[in-house]
Amino acid sequence: MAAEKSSIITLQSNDGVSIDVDRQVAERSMLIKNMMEDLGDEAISTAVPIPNVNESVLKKVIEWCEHHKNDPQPAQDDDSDSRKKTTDIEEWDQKFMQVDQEMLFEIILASNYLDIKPLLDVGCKTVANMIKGKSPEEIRKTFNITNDFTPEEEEQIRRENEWAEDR
Amino acid sequence: MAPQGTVAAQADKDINELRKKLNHVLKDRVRIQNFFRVLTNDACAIRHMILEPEILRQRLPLDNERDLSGPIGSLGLFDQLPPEIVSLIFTQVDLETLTRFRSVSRAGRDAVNNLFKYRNIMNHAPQILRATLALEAGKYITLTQLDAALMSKACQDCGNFGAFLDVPNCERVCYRCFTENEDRMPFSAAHARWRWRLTKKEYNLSKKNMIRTVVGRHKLRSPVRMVRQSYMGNEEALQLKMRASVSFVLTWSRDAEDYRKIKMDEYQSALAIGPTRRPAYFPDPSPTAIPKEARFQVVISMPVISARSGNACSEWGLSCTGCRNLKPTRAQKKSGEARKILFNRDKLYTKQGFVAHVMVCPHAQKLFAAEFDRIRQRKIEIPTSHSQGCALVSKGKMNHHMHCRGDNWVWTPCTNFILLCGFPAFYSKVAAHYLFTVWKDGI
Repeated sequence: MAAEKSSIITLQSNDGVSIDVDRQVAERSMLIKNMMEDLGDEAISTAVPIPNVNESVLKKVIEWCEHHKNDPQPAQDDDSDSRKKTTDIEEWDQKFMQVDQEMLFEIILASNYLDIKPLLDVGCKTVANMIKGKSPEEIRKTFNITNDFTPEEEEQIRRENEWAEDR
Repeated sequence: MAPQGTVAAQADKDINELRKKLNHVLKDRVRIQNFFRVLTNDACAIRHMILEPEILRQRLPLDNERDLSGPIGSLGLFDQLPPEIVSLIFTQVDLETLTRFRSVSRAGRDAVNNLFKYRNIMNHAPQILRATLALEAGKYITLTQLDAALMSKACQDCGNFGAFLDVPNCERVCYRCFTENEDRMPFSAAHARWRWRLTKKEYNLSKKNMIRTVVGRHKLRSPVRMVRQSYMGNEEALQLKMRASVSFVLTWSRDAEDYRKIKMDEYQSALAIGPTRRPAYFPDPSPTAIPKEARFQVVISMPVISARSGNACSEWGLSCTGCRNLKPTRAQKKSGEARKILFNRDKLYTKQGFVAHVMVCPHAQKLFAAEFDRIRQRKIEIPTSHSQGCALVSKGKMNHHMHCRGDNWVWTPCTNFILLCGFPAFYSKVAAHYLFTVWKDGI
């Protein structure tokens, strides 16, 4: 087991850059883990292409995996932590997620592709926190959404979703 | 007649087997309806005191019924993400923001509408969403939490069937638990401020977890601000210093004199601990700090959903007519059992749970038996409009039962010893062997 842990896997991003990572770190990704199990040890010697992820994002994801390599694997059932609050993000993860939006979305997509559930969760929570408490106008600005309601329609929707004593 | 005790003992013995059979019978929903009509009602003492869905609908209609069809634009950056991830994000946003997201654009409105959990709530119980938003609890409750509460069946505290939603805590509760459990009592904001001796800054921080009752048809003249206790109890989340660690009792049944004494002790020890920083605002801790009306205004009826999709049916809870007619005797009042009886009168059951209840409730059995007697003596008016109606008719030794199909009467011999008008399915299949033991002497 010890020998297996220290073995190195080479990951190749879609822009052709190879990155060497510990097998234990890379196996935070269920995609890679399952692939390794399927292919056996001989696959380690060849580079693993990650076609959907570019170098900078891949590095970022690996950075996260490095930090979390000793975390217990997430349980299979999704509902166990469904009642957790949005604010439950570790401090390190919060700092890690302080990136521009483009990057944040790329990380979410990469973690989805690589099947790293905890990272996907953290990413989604971060985006959720970005939406929280914002006015519609602020949300539009943050996420680059164009308003296609007429002002009357918007006003109507706003009124109907608000408590009013006299109606 | 066999004593009721035998019945109860037997009921205990094979109740599990019965449940299995009853599961089968309960599928026959139409035919079993008379059984419930005779033995149950949907009254519960609390129903008129809690939030009323109709008022919520008037004051907070939600825009979901409005037809705003039009070309669906883009959802900006969210278009990069696959829909399942977008919905993963949305289920973690608080309900207030999620509702606000609906007015961002047509695509945003659609995205929220299409969330599985959102649709589930809107289909079965839009009033729980309205209640959450109206009480301002929507700023900390997420869609996932509300959906989990709706999909649960048992009261969070006692495990029995719970027919209500405790809105500030977003948990399913039963009548008894939310009226009696001290943990469920919210504090008034002023009281929380006094109890933890919060500074103005800390008080403002706690506003995030403060709810506001609404003014409905009840006695409240103005909204009351309250802090949910489970939150205030959680020091880490609150990040506030609890300077006065005073054991605190807030029960509305306590004698005023006792209560005043406790309050004074508490006041004294609070003063002893931190005399230097006394908040400027120090309200009189009177037992009427939260009016009873206000406390019940944070609870709303919530149905139980039997299945996620398909022919999902919702149940609001039935109470036992047999138990309802009970009145505590004087002796019971003295021994303090009266309270339990009063709560049992308003205990609500699911249909399935109620059938199990009949097996152990002598009062319901008595009613059931009385109804049976009435029918046996043919004093009953046979329901002609009811296509499934039938009546037991004795013809010599052979028992017949009479079907009514529209205006035509059909006679059929029946092999079962007992058949009842109105509740044949239940009776013939399950209860027959039961009530047979009770009634064979009489027949």
